[in-house]
Amino acid sequence: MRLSTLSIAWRNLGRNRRRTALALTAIALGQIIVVAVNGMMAGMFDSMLKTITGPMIGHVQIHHKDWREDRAVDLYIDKLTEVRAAIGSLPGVKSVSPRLFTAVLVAPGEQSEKPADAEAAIVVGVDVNAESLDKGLIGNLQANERPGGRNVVIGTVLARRLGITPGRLIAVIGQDVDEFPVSDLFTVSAVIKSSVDIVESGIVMSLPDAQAFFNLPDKCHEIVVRGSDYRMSVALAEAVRKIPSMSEAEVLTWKEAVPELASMIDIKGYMDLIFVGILFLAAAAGIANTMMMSTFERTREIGMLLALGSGPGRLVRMIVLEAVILGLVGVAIGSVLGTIIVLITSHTGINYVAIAGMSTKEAMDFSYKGLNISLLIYPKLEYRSFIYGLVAVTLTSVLTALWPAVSAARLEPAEAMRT
Amino acid sequence: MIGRKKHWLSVLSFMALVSICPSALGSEPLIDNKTGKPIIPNVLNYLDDLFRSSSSISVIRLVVTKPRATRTLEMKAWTRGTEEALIVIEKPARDAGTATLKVGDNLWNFLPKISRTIRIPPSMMLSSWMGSDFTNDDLVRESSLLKDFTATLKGRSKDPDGWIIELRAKEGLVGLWEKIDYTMTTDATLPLRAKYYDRKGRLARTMDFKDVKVFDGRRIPSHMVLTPEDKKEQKTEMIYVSIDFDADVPESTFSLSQLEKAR
Repeated sequence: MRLSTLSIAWRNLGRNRRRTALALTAIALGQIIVVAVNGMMAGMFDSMLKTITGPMIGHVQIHHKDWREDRAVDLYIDKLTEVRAAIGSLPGVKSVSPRLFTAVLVAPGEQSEKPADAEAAIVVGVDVNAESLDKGLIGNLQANERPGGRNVVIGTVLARRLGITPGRLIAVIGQDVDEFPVSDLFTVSAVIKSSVDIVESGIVMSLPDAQAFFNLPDKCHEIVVRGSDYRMSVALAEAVRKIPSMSEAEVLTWKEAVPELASMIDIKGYMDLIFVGILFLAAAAGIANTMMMSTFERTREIGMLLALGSGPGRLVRMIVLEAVILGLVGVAIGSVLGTIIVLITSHTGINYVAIAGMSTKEAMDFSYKGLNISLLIYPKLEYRSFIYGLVAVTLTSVLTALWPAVSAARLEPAEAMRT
Repeated sequence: MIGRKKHWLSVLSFMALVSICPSALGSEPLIDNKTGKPIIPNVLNYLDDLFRSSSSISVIRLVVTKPRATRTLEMKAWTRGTEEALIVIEKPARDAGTATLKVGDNLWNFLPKISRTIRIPPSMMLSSWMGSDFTNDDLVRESSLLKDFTATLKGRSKDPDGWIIELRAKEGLVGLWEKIDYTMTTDATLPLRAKYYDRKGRLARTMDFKDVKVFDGRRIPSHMVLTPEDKKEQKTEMIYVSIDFDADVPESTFSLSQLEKAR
């Protein structure tokens, strides 16, 4: 292709600036939507994924095979020390967190004239060291606030219901593994906010304290395994299943543990395609209209070019090139503007709650399957949206310009010049 | 949970054993002389009254059998009417002093180990009471067979030998049970077995009544065995050691301060 074709095409676009600007706006807007919306969704799903594979669910979970159905105290994993060592020695395992869950009644522990109303809550017995790591259930606590030695941590919701502050006592009344009643007093060392419902309205106890209280020595109800990457969960689960003592247990990847959330994340791929489709349509409409109009207007000129000996092939190339330039410039403008939007909002965050018109205090998070997913979204730039836009627009511009280009090339020079 | 009606055969009514004057007991014929069949309303009335008294003091042994453990509790119970009851565990030492106070629909537990009293919230009403197969709800429900259930005579039963009376919860009755099948003795004076069906029509638990004894002039079963359907190798037995009907039980017995007093 001769360079002159390119420069002619470029100059042709400048001849009707308003029309070109309109076409560019349509394409650029489309690309802004692709970049910004994909960025927003990427940010949202990223935070969802972090919450899901974060503190509560981990990458792989292990339970007694009937646990998920019944959640009864006596559906435990036995010989915890042994099992834990075996899992910990698997390649790629970053942390192994055993947990124990028991429903209890809890009341403020100080003596009072009138007996306090008890609240139902869940005691979560945790390995304090494992859960104090970055992604653990109690990851943000200072060393002296951590549970253990009859100190417990309670969630903000439970603390508010009981009117309890750190340093005070709570009375915990529950049932041991044989359902016989047990009761004891514990000191609240900290009140924590958590993305996990049962922590938010529950009690976090150290595993040894919980095992002793509920008569579950060397036992737990759940083991959460975290590898180096959530994408490795399938291989990790497979490796755990091969441990002989795990043959009776139920081993699940995070996708199997919360299939609804996992499928929500899969939806994102389709959503991306929908927005690319919108861009496709915007670009097609803009380019088709522009090219039809400009070739129609230039019938005389095209006839002249043909009469002067320029081949029909060169004409087609010229017109298609005009369309491609239009598309690419539009995508470039849209990408730049879209990127600016994403970069700005990725610092400030987008508050979905305010957008949806809900009261901010009530609904900063939405809770699903006991996990609180933040509605303050920090968009994330996804480079693939540039590629999507580029491919979509180039394709549409070539396709939509072909028809006017070919019909122009087929013109009879003598007739065309007379119009 | 509040306002749930109670069936007289639940634990407390056993503790709430309330007396009718002896003349009232048996004043209505239980068996129709012509047909030889039980007269349902009279039988239900009789059952309703069997354990009723204005007050009672009883000693009860509760044997809870679990797959891994068996525990025997000895307790003393004070009742006035069907609304007030105090149950204090006396043995074993580990649980001694643990007490439950019922006033109307409210339940409080006193836990000597932490010397605290807590009120049982509605959400825990279906939880086990003292590790037994009875629930907290069993303690507070209150109902009358005649008022809450529609009874039909289902015929004779072979094992155990007696009459089967089907009780269906009347429409609008809030409760756990859709249907209770009673097996009564041939003379319709005593219950032998009760089968409880839940709201989905599934058999949920069976209560067997054994060892008829005379307490204070009343012939009643002294040994009840409650077997839940959904828990294997598990049952709760309630054995009356003694019952003193119409004993002198002052109103002050059923107070929170009394609940916390070591007995």
